Amino acid sequence: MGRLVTRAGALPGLPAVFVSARERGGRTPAGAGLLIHDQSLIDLVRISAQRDVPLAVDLDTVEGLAPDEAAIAFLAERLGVAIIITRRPALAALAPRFACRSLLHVHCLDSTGLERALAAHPGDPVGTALSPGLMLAQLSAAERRRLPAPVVAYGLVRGPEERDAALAAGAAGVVVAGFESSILTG
Amino acid sequence: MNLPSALTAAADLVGRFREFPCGAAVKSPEQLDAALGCRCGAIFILRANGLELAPVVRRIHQAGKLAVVHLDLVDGVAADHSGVRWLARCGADAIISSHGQAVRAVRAEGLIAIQRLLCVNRISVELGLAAVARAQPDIVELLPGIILPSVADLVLPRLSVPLLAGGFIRDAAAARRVLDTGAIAVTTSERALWDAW
Repeated sequence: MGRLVTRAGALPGLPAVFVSARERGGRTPAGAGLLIHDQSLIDLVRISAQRDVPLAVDLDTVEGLAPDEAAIAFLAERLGVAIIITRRPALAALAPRFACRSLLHVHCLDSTGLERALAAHPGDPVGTALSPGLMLAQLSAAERRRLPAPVVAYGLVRGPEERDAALAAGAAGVVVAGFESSILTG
Repeated sequence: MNLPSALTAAADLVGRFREFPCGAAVKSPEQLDAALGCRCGAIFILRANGLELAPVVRRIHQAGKLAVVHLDLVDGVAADHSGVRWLARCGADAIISSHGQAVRAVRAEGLIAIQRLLCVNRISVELGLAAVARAQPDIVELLPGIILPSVADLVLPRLSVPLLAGGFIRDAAAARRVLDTGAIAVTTSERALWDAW
């Protein structure tokens, strides 16, 4: 799908860019990380072994990976994943025990759904991956303040203007679709 | 299956949206009371006890409006064929669901079928559009509706049925942007949009 563009220093110790592993054959730009989602477990392991870059994984979209503590331990300790994204609050809360940053994946489709997701959010140190990423710029300032940081805008951000809008709205990072250099450089 | 009546009913609902392009989304009895007297031609029931819905639907009909029930959100009713038949028996004019199988059941019952297209990311849009193509609803509702202008190129060319937009549409300017993009109506719980804008 895309790569994760972050503001410098917004995700301490992590690279500024994560490239999607779905883009087969795409090279990982220097200094970038890799965002793995919508893959099988076997492909996840293969891709992670081939790339010597920081990894982020959308756990819920990996076929063959159970949503449990063993999966978190495997991702963090065996594969060295730096960021785990999941819709499950209990799993997101587990990840920091394995020295791994985690983001609760919040589907922001209507105000009721957002309220429910935030009510279940574990809070610090778990951050927020807000989907679709386009929504971050649409939320009110009060709603954005309620999103536990760091906040990553994840999904359907397809151009520099949308990326910039998300960053201006306080995103620590933005997952951007495609590999166009204009997206990366603005 | 009673497709001709469903088509007629769908045409009625679309006609109401052409007169006033807004559906009142209600989540509480207080909101329902307010919606009964508003300008919207259809009331969308997002939160209610689905097992005690018949009196609610009667009130909506007495107000001269169509009752659209969200199968996935009302309490007490499963999102399956039997749940759909129950809501039909309660008098619902239209049923919304994100599940293609439920949408097909709605069509089989001769009600207006509205399928939700949840736009979380590119993959969810693709899968949702494929599900819509299989289920063939009368109407599609895109969520979050506020982003329709940004994803119209992905969605509109692949739809052959009328499109509603719901979710985070909070003021008249946002509603107009969405309508200008191609939606026939917005669905919203913002009372200020239920009468005039």
